[in-house]
Amino acid sequence: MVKDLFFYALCAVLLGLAGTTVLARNLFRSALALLGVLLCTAILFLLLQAELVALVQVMVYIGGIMIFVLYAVLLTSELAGRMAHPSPLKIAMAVVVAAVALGSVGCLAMRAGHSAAAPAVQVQGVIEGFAQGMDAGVDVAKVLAKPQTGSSNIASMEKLGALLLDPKGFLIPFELISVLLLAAMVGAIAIARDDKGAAP
Amino acid sequence: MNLTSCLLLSAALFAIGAFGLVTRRNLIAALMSLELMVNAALINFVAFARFGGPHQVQGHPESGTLFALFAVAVTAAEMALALAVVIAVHRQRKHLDVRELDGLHG
Repeated sequence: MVKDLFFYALCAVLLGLAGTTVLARNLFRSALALLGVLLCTAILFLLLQAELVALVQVMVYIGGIMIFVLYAVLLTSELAGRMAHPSPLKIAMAVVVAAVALGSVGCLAMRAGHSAAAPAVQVQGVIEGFAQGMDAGVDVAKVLAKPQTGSSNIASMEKLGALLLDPKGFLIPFELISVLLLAAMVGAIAIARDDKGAAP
Repeated sequence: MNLTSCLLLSAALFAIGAFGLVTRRNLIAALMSLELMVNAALINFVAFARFGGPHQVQGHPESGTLFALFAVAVTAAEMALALAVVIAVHRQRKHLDVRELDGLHG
């Protein structure tokens, strides 16, 4: 089954990148591998039908925490001066990778755009539809055009949002988390601030 | 793709993270290994929410997913503080070798 194959390929890539994270001597390369691990995990969450967790993973981990980590690496290791210019072979490989990514995403977008019945294609739908389409050998666009059934999702965003703001649900932990984040932000500024210099 | 394969993947990721946490000497690299372990825990939450464990909670099948969301938020707070400490330590000591950072060692 194609979905299983995709899962196992994803597992292999994830574990390989995790190994690179742990073993790479260059700290910057290690951080980039960790970024790949987080991205693979987000795709895995999409496969597991947890689209909100996947989006939060991309926004908070990749958009927030990884930026922190890269800043810390560049601030503390004086790596920026020693970064070698990429060789022509590496540039060529990067161009190939970028072209393949553009081609595959663009192909999916074109085929989804041709069917006018799919105004809002969800990311989850793209992955599921891609796997199903390759499974049965049918047109991907037809699978995508099928209306998204909310009941098959273990955690649709509407249900999760309602549950998060429900006083009988998870409202109190949700508010406590915001207090925790505020305290952590103030604490981080207080710890990292240079005491001698005038704080801007 | 079932519960067992997801749990095995998460266990492997956790083991790799634990290996890195023990072997890396740089403080930031150790933190990145810690991230790998947290990620393994997140995969567990979502996998149990998707496939259901032996004792699935009645009433709120979304609880596992929400727990993953809360865990992400707590990790964000933790990493912000940890990296602030990293910056402060580097400013004071000019290095980040965890084996040299024994100021609290009695």
